Amino acid sequence: MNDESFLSDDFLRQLISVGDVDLLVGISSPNGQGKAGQFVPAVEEGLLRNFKRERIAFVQVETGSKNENGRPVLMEGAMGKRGGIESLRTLRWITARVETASSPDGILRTMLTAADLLHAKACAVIAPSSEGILPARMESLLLPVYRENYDFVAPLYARHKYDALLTRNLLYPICRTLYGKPIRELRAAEFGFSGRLAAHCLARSEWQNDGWRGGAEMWMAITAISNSFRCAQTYLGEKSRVASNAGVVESIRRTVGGLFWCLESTESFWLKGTSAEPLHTIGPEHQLTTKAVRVERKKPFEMYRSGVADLSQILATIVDARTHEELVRLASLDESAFRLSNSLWVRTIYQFAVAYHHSVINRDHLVQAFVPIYRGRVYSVLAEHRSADSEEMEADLENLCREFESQKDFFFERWKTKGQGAS
Amino acid sequence: MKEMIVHAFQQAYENFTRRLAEFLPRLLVMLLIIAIGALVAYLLKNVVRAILRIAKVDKVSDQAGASRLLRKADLPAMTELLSRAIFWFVWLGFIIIGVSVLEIVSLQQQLTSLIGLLPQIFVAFLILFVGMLAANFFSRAALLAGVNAGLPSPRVFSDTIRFVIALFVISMALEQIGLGRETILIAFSLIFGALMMGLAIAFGLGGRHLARRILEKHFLHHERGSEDELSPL
Repeated sequence: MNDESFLSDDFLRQLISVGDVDLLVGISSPNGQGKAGQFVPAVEEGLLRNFKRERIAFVQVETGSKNENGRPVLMEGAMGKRGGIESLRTLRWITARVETASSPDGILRTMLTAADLLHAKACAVIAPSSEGILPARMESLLLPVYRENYDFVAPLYARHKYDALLTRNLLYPICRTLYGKPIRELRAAEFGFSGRLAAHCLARSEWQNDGWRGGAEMWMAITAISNSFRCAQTYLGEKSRVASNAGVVESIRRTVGGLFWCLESTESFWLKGTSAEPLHTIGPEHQLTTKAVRVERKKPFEMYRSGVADLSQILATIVDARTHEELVRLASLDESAFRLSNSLWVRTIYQFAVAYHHSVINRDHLVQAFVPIYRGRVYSVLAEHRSADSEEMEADLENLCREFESQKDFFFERWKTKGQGAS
Repeated sequence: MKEMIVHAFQQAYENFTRRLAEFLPRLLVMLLIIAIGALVAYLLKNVVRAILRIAKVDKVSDQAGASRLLRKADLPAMTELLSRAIFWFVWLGFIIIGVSVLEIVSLQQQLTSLIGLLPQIFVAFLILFVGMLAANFFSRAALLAGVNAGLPSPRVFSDTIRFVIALFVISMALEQIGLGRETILIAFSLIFGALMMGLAIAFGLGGRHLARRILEKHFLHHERGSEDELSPL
């Protein structure tokens, strides 16, 4: 393990008292949503069905202000019996508290450390949804790791066609094109992993780096892929539509900034030109829902227009003259004619990644300058796919991935050319 | 009479040759010192340039936005600029030492006062440069924040920040070299005060509706929440 000093003495003491376990379930509880023990029935029910002979520990990591005594809570499983099934082993529940202001990736790091110290064989990170914890999700994430020796299991959700547009328009195609793994949810709050992967990730020096601040989950997925750990993805059902707590700008800073940083740190892997490989998928490979929802369409378009006009000078230092000209020309079109095509979108992303790599301007500023472009793409997707069904959406995603593939050589060439910015 | 004139000429010639004989070695020493200085300065310039290249100072300068400022001012890249500055500082030092060998009192006094001012001029330039970098960085950060938050006229906001920082930095730099200290202080106070008062009056009288719109937009945005923008993840 790399560095235990960020853990409190109390938390370490509790971990030591638990001893070795077979399975570890980490529950992230942002801002103290859900008290210790509130999830006990659902979690135990989910685990006792498949793992009644295994030693299990639950680590609930809370963020935000300290509780009354500021100490972690350790308690035995409430009953050890749910739905008529009785556990043969003791279930242990630990609660830790992390100050996310100083370390936004502290939740995951705490869970990885717990997994490493308890020598857990399989682990799952669960994010409680508005309905609480769904017991079936734990088995879906733990079983492939525990029984089939996978090291990283990404989730796969049924999503609304307008949801997760950054994930579908950027993260998935990049992961498929550059890393050769078609992982649908590269940056997810829920996933499964092996003790081996946890130990590997903890030993890395990246925790001291600020470049991927807030994007530890994505980094872990990319680390698993680029270090040849066995990866799979598993269907977890529908993901409820939620607004991003962090807001669009903050989400993009963390996600796009984190992705570009990961690209840089793993360039020796993807610059070899990895070809896309099939990924073991448990359950349906994709599922989109298309029910009518109320969406603000005009705002992203207006913000693209004003954003590109105001940031024109900054954009000119990031992308090449041709791309800049096209982005500015689009801003002059009216709503009905506006389309940010796959080709322009991919070219712009690749050029932003190159500019980030060559540090053309301050990296955080560069990522923030991407926000209006993303909003333009959002408007374009909303306008183009107003009446599209899930098959059409999937076909378009396939076209987008092909576009990423076709511009890959251009990207590699630019990436390797040192000192090249917006030339 | 004729003898006297010849004698005077002879004396003048002797004085001239004696002084020339005294001066010429000093001149030669001065030229030698200046030539050695040029050589030392040239070598130091190359050493500093190599060190700065290894330290990737140009990359840091790019990141901080300093390179853009330098290009705008038609100046060379940061590595070249710093190494050239080292060359001139070192050479100037040798020139001053060389001139002092001549023992011309008035020239020495002028040079001494110039030497006394050099560190202040250098610090003033440093303040100006770092200040302009800060102005550039913060105005760009403000522009990006304003654009992404959908604020009206983010450029005005950004330019105001750049202007205020630049004003502050220029007054600090001028004060450093002691140029009209009191005048600068009064001018800065007047300009800054007038600017703030102007903004307050403009916002209070002309921007009431704008202020209301901004506040409404900010607070109603949070109330409407998820309907406004789709979650990207």
